Amino acid sequence: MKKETGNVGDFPAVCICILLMTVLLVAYMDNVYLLEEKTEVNQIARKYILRMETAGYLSEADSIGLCRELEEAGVTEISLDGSTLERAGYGEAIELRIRGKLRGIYEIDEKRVSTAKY
Amino acid sequence: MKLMKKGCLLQSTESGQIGWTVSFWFLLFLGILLCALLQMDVIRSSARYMEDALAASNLAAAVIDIEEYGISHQIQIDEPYMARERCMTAMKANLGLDDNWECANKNLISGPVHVVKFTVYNVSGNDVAIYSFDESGAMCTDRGTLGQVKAPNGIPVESTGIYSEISYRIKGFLGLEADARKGKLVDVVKSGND
Repeated sequence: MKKETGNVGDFPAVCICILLMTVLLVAYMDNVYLLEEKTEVNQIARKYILRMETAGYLSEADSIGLCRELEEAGVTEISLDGSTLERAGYGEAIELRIRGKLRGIYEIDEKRVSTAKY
Repeated sequence: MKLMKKGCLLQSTESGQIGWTVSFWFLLFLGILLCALLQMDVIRSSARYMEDALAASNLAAAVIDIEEYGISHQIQIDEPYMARERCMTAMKANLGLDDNWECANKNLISGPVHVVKFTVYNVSGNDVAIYSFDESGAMCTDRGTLGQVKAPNGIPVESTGIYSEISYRIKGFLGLEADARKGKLVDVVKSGND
């Protein structure tokens, strides 16, 4: 059977198109997942600043729980330096500071400020 | 092969040329579509972040008058001016703004963030005392009846709370810019049966 002219010419175009399409979709999905991971870290920070409001500080137990949840969210090299670790009085400012790396590449620096309601 | 149509000489198309052209335009379309979708995700995510920051800042400002609570068991927000100051301080930190109230990363929020409205609602029985601040920080007071007072975002005020609203400029896809506003009302309620 004789091949139709142009069959070989179309093949590389289709292959390259599929390859580039895959690259675009993978890059898009990667960015969407990264956004979701960042949002999850925001939610964790929000949850713990609310706990700190009622306790007046970041307790040892909360600190351990926070680190565990951050690790589960994919954060590495976690540092809570700068967070309020001593009990603050009613109405005084409290701070939660989370530093780390997402996927070991992207640096995150979350800062939440509120007032103690203890 | 030479094609003739109404006396015009049409160029012959090489095999595969149409395939390349279609592929190029398809990929370009897909790329633009994915960029637009990603931008929408970023805007949605930042809107949620803004709302969280607003809620957290309002809660930071909601320091109740302990003495008043001890005497009358009414939840009243202490000193509206101080509440606004506390809210501004918390908002600046929660949104990661510099001294000019601008984001360090201007990829999304391209201009300064303005606190355009700040209102304290102190509910006492059926009365609502309203302390509204404008962008310049000037305060005006008003009174209302519980059930009839609504926050600027249309949510009825049911208990003592704080409403704040910010405006900012967002940079979108292909460098397009648009003004955005976000407002949030938080209530302070008693927990338990006390």
